[in-house]
Amino acid sequence: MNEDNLSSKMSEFMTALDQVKKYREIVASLTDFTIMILGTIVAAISFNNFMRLHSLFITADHGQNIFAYFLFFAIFPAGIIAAVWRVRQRVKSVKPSEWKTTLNEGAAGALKLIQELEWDNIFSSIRYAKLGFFIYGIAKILVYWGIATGALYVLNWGVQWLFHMNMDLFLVVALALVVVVFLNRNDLRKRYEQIGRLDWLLWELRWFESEFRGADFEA
Amino acid sequence: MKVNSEEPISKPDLYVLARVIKVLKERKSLKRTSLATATGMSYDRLVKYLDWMSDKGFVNFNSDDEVLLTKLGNETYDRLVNWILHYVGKVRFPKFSD
Repeated sequence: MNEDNLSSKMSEFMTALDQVKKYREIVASLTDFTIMILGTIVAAISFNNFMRLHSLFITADHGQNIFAYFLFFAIFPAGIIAAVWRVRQRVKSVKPSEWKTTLNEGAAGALKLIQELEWDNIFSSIRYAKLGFFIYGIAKILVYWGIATGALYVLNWGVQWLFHMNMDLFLVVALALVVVVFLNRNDLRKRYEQIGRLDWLLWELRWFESEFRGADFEA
Repeated sequence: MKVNSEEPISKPDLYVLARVIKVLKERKSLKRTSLATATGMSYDRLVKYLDWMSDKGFVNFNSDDEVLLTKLGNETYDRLVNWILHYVGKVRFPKFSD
């Protein structure tokens, strides 16, 4: 029975470490995320400049203009979706539960897993995971804020065209932020809680590492 | 029967020790070669461990020269499980959501 308890406790242990690996991967994929978002902005600016240059030589009809506008605004969501997809793919690439076969060996497997743990690496991963979680959350809010600002700007433009009522640009930007924060409130709360849990895990593992290192089994 | 080996082990690897005992718990008695295969150890290394375990009274050998786990060996395994559980059991792992 004790061996079952040990297996179950070790499963919890290793599952928590798997989760840390996933969060660590979020940090690693932030470079990809940033490059893709910057690439999207560069692509949109280049497209806009190309269309301006194009209009100097060729006069486009109304339909072509609408299509060009559609393409310009489609670049942003496409780039953002691709960047978020890339982060998700990298997180999914972390294979969980690879330790299960070892743990099937019972106490021996548990010992092997503990002996093979690279503690410095684990502690640094938890710290990076915390940072990554925070930065990724901020980056997501900034991106959604950008989208919401664009959408509200277009809406404002429509309202102005239809009803001749205009909203100040500062108000548009501020309203977009309020909408984004409101819509993402659950995600923000979850992110805050996860960072707290990572802190908790860090302290628990520090205790375990120092206790277990100093322990000696008398056979 | 006592097994001779050139370099006796002074401090055994607990993982290896646990594996040997675990296999013996499950299979009752085994020839050394079969035990080496079952534990994935080299024969020479296993012999050194058996020598150490025999000295400690964890294993003995029957008339067919098969390795048997003693009561003390059995109890040692349980003590080892409890020893790990003593430390791992105190850690409270947070539940993460995806």
